Amino acid sequence: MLRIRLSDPLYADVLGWLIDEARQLDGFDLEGWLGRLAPDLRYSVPVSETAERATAAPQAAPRNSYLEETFDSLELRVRRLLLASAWVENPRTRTRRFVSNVLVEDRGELVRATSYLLFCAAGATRRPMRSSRVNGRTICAGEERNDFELVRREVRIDQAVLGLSTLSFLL
Amino acid sequence: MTSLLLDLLLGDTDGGYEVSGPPQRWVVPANWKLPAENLAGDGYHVLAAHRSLVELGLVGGLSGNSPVARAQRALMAGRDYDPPRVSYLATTDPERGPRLGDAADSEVGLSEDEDLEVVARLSGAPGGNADQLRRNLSSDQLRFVRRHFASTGTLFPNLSVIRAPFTTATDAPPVPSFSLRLWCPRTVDSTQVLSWVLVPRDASDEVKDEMRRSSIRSFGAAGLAEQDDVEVWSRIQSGARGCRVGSARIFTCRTRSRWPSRCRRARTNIGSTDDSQWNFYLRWRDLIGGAVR
Repeated sequence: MLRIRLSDPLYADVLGWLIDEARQLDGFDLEGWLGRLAPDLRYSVPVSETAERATAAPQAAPRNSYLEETFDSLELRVRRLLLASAWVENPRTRTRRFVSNVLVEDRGELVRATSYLLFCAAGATRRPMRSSRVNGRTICAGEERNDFELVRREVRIDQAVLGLSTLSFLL
Repeated sequence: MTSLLLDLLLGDTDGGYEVSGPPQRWVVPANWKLPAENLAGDGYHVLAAHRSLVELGLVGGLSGNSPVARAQRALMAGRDYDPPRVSYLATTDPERGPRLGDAADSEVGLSEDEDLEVVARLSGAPGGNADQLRRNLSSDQLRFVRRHFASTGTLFPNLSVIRAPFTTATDAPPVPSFSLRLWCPRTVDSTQVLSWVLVPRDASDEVKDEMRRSSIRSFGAAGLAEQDDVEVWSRIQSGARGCRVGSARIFTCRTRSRWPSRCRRARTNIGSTDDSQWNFYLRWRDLIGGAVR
């Protein structure tokens, strides 16, 4: 596993991909976003817990998540979000995704990007602007180094109690 | 009566149930009583609030004579079992709609044993058959569960269960799911939700994973069904601040059930009315010792 330097063109390609993706999701171009996904995608958002330092055990794979998705289930999720009858997203939640602190690792066939995501969401009902930080790991594959598709994503939200009333949008 | 309902939900396997990991936790901008009463009845909200799932073909519409459509009409009619203001169990109704066996299979007139097999499959019974149900439930409970599928309920005041098979593909069979949730009051207009996934202890890891995915894809902070429920609760709460709310009639009640109760010591309310929910609020009012102003 090779850490890619910031000066490497590969780093710029990966960062550009992540920024484009964030704009796509903020712009509600969900069908376009589906085009970024590999058919064998695994996408998960595990539940986070807060434990005292003295008793905290190394985190084993948590057996509960907010999202455990495949390409097919995400495609269904997107189809639903595009319907006018997805009441929670009509009108749409306004989101801004800020991708930062990107680390890129070359793993041969796969490129792994770990990034922070700060997102702010404001919904139609009287939900205040909420922001949450996540540490996301995105693994992409591509035959051409500037043409990636999402193979695996794990998003760890920095909250044990979600500050959102519902996770109706994609991270 | 409460133990009858709890045993139906939790006492139907040899090995019992376990939680699958820590609960989801999130905050809903609504008073805790709104989700609690929603799961104490309210079968008729499904086709409107979850219309997107109808349009995707995951939940049947009302029209037509397909087994799924007839099952949906049964769900709309439904029955709420309402023991003396203690707990509520919403079930599908076998008389206004088809028997569960009819709803799940195209053949008409399944035997009672075949009905039980359908219930076992939809509730995620270990082994995929009704052997454990027969071993663990009394004959009264078996008779009840053959005729009804107990899908949601609230144990007064703020503990609810959701047991609803869900599918994420129109051509795939529904996968059982089982959530337990606690509506923790934070303020008058916000509630912290704790949502556990329950799985049969004896099930294989693969089945447990499938059931967990079914639970979190349907209900949970990112659940396709729950998202729209949260939206409705939030908007009810925000509307309740309005100046017109004091004079609004917001419940539809029929105080005398037309259907004979299949449980002793329990009132049966028609699922398309708000009787169970109304009784929930009456019980709460009695406990806090206040008269309605």
